[in-house]
Amino acid sequence: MRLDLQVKLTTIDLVRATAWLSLTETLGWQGILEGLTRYDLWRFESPDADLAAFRAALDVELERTSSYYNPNKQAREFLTENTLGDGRRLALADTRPRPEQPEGDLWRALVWVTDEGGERPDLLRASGAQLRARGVNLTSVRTGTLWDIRLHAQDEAHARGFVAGLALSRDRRKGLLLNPHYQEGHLLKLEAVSRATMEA
Amino acid sequence: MEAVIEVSRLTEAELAEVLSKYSLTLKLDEARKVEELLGRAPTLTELTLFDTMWSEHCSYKSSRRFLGENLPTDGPDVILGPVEDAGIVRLGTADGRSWGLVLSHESHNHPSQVLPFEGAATGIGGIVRDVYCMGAEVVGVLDPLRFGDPNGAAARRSREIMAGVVDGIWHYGNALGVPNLGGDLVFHPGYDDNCLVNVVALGLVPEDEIVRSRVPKEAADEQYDFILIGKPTDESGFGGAAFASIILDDEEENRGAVQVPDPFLKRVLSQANKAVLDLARVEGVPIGFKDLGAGGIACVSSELAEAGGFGMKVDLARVSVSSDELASRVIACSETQERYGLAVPRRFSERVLRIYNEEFDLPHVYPGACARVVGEVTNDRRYVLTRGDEVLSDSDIEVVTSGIRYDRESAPEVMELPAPVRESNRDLGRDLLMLLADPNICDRSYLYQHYDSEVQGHTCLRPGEGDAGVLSPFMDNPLGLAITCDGNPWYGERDPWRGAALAVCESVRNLACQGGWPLALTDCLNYGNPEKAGPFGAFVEGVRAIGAACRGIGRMTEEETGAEPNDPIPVISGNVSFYNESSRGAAIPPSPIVALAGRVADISRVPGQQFKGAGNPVFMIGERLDEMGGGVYNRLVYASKGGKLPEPDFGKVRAEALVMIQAVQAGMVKAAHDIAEGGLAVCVTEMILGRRPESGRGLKLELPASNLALDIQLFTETGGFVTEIATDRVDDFKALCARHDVEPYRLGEVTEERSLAIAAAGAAVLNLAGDELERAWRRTLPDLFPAGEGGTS
Amino acid sequence: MSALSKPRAAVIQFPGVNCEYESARALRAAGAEADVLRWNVDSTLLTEYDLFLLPGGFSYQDRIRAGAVAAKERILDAVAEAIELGKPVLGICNGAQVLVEAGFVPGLAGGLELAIAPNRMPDREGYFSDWRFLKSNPESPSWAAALNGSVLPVPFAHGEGRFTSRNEGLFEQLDAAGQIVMRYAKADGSAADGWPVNPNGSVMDVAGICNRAGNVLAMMPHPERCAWLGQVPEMLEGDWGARRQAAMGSWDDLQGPGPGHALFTAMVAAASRRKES
Repeated sequence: MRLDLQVKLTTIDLVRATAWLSLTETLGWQGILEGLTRYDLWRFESPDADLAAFRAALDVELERTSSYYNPNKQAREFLTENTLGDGRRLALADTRPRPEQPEGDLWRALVWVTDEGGERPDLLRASGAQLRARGVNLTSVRTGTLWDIRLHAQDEAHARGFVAGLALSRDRRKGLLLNPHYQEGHLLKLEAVSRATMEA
Repeated sequence: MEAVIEVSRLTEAELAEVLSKYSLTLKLDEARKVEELLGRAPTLTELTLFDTMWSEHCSYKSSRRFLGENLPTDGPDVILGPVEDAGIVRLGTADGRSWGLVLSHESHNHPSQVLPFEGAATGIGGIVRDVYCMGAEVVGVLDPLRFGDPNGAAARRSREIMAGVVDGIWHYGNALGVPNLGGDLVFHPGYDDNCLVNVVALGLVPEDEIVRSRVPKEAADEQYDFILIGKPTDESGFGGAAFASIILDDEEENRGAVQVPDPFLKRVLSQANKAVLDLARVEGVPIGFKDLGAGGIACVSSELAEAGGFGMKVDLARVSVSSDELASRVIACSETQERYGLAVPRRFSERVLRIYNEEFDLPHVYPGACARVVGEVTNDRRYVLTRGDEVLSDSDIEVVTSGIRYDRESAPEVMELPAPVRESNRDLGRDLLMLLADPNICDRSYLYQHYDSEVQGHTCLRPGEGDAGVLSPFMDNPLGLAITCDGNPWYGERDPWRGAALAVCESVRNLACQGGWPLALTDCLNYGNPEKAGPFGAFVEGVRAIGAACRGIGRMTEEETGAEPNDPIPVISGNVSFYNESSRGAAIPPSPIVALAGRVADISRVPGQQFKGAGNPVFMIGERLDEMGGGVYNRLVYASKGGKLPEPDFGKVRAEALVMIQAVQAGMVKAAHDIAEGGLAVCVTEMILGRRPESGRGLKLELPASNLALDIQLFTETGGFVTEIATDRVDDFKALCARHDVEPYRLGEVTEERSLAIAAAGAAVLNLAGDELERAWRRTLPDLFPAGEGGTS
Repeated sequence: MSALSKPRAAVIQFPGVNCEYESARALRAAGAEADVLRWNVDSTLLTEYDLFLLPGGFSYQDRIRAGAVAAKERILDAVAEAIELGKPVLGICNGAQVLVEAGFVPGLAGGLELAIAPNRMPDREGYFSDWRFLKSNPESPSWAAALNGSVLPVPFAHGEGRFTSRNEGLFEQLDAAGQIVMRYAKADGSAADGWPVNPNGSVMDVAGICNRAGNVLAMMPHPERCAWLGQVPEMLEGDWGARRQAAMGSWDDLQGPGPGHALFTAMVAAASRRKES
């Protein structure tokens, strides 16, 4: 069983603001990129756990420690309904150059950026002991930055190409969100969305 | 439409309900006083404004009287006493100009308890703005930190708060480009529910370039604009001043008051400010400049104008805001970070705006950040606040800035505790190792390695290398400045007067080790609820003691500054932080924290604290007395705070400090360290290990003849010094001591081998290898920062 | 050297950097004229300069990744031109991160070939500052080869200082080409042998790397913080600590060169040679 915990700042997100300015104004994704949101994504794994018990145990642990989120500045949400998979690992071969004009429909991509896998053995040790006392065998804690990207593309291949293009840093004109020499971009979700859905 | 609150028509219950509805902390009679002062019913914005201006944090309503009566604030070299956000004292002449040293001291206790990272970070942000707005460069910060017992009832929370605070300090402070010169770190269970995060900033400004926080007199002859610079105003920090003045009910609530720190914008702003101030100086344009803190736009605009003898009109509709939905009172009073207010002649405004908005491109550095003209200076001494056509406030400006006073009941409490019954024949070597591993004694390197202490390139004594941080900021001149901070809650809780006096004494000794003359002091007075006679009495005693110590020790001598030897050490700035207690009712131990800045005539003579040359003689100054009360030895060995506290004998402190200062300046001293917590034994161990244990030397020590038991001789906390003297200067040193009627006790000599050997009357007391000492001393602090248990940053 | 022939150095001030003034001071002490230029100045101004320094600090507050945002700024087009012309370029700390993120270093295949990743330290996280010794590489194509294999104590202060790459064999290749200009080492110059002499887990103890041509150097420690003897801690191990102790009492001696001075001298000399040729 895997539980994904999404954590969002309730204050202004300055990292997101800087990323937005750099992508749109400096790197030229103005008009193509429609939206950008940033979260922390924590991924907890316990192969044999019962979902309800796993979640209850984590709820207690999140109250105990501020290692994962701080209620004074962040909001949290478990993504239980449609637990995200590992997703496709974005590769240089995926990247497409930025188009001159926005094309096609709006797509939404969730890209999870981890540093060298994002494993947190220190937290696994600390929280593992707590969860074990509640009968849950925690086997992995991973963390990374989740980017929720909305952009225009005519089809899925283009959408993926653009997402990889703006995410994977390659040189001083291309890509920003991760350095592939120590980070990984997991494309957890890619879907076409209507404007109405987005606004809702 | 702006609401008008008809205070006098409301019953007590109705008024209380209104105040509560708008989260105002004004007392009922204070609300009625607002209406009385205005001569009409206040608007909601006005009530909010007074709520801030009359908070303890802004108005010093309980404390002001005592500060004025007790603290010396003047001197021949004091350029600006405690009237604005920071004080200024003349440091000396270097690089062809006369320099002012700017000092400021603040607390960010409650915000750090709730959100350690942001609280600590914004604390630094606020204090450096205070210094920048005098036209100064900020050249150093210090962080005096007080946390709960890391092994006590609230161990986990205390450790998390410490980790979060340290993260906040380095994330914010290191990015600002201001060297961190240390500070101190004390643990005490009295801080379990209420940590103290103080911060001291020091700056340098050429005397002829000081900018004042007031509209210049030229505004009488020429139209002046009021320009608001920085981050768009948002609701963050709304009610911040009032927040500092209430007791934390539940640490998980109160989130509205904490602001989002942004050192990046601050760094860019400080560079842009520099360009604006340079331009104004070159063109000879007089300006007024003030940072925005508690009370936001309303506070800064009214105070700038009132200080210059003018009036002010501000239109909130012209303010850059994060959202048009913001209520007027929020725009007027929110404590949004990274903002400044500037009064400049209208003919100059365009160029100022261009520097911020185009050259430094603020709108791209932070969404919505900019400089805008939002008001104008008037000659009628009225304060008028509008939002477009709507008038939110219109009154005499003195009414807004007048403040409020209280007389509080004072009943200080002194804890008389007997000394514990001592055991004889203890293994004093074991005892020393136990002390070295105590969180309050152990090596601080692990903490200091989080800080950037070397940015700007002027640091010559880093945190941990000596008792004070030392800077050498000038290119053509060996003139330097030293800064230290002190305050021991274990003394304060026993006796609030002695606790405060001893803090001043130790700070003087810390500077003396570096050959620094005391120039000026700044204090942050951290106490409990002033509405209770006990904590308020402790505060009054603390203020009296600081005043007495500053007078009793005095400036000693210093030809260059024009100060006379008996002039008091001036207190040129400071801060009072009340309501430091939890809803569980316990006040923190009385915690006055003082920071003392000093002048070092020749930084090349400054010795670090580590022993250097094998064979050099080592002396002690300050006879050992039975003053184990409140000390770490009695606490650890006997679980007792009892016994006699060290006695602050100002005449003795002065004579001993004079010897050290002059010995250092005459080049006799190779190493120096003051004797404080843990006494002589801990002092000499720190001189062996220091900041660079790998280069440590050793000490062979024979205790001077004494009637005291050995454990008392080794661990009593009577103040004093240990110093390594150059072999060929021993006679000079003894002569100097004789001149000041101070007895130098020869302790022994430095050894090549890194070890500590202590003997008394020819018999060994303890022998410890350097490795044993180092193991005990170094490991504790890293283990208090457990990986994976720190707070989220 | 006459004032007229002094090489001109541009110190680039990205928003958020904070070592620009002391870096300029160190360049001046090494014989250059130095100006601090804002990131958004007219980039044609840069053609007049002979050497470039990207100083330390926190450009864009290390948002997204240290150096990532500044590496995309337009002013780097002008720096790229200068690099093409063989002008010396030095990135210190955050400046090194920018040079790497911009793909100027190591410049084998071009583009982004490595990362300066978050430190890996056994008993701490985040920022770490202290002093370490650097063993310089006399065989490198860099102007810093003039350090001639000497061992220099230098302060470092960073949270992201670990050179690493996913390009197979990259560091071996760089080593063979002499592009590893400096490594963390013990005080006597012997190999670091891991933590804590290597303070961040950098592959092969790398502290500084140059591009293939040798004119661009990206280094994490701060030579501008040890350009004067007075900046050296008195108890530092080895020769420089001893010199610092011996200078006690003499302001003039403390104003003498520190270990970092030689690096700036080498850089300015390289700029002069290029200018005169």
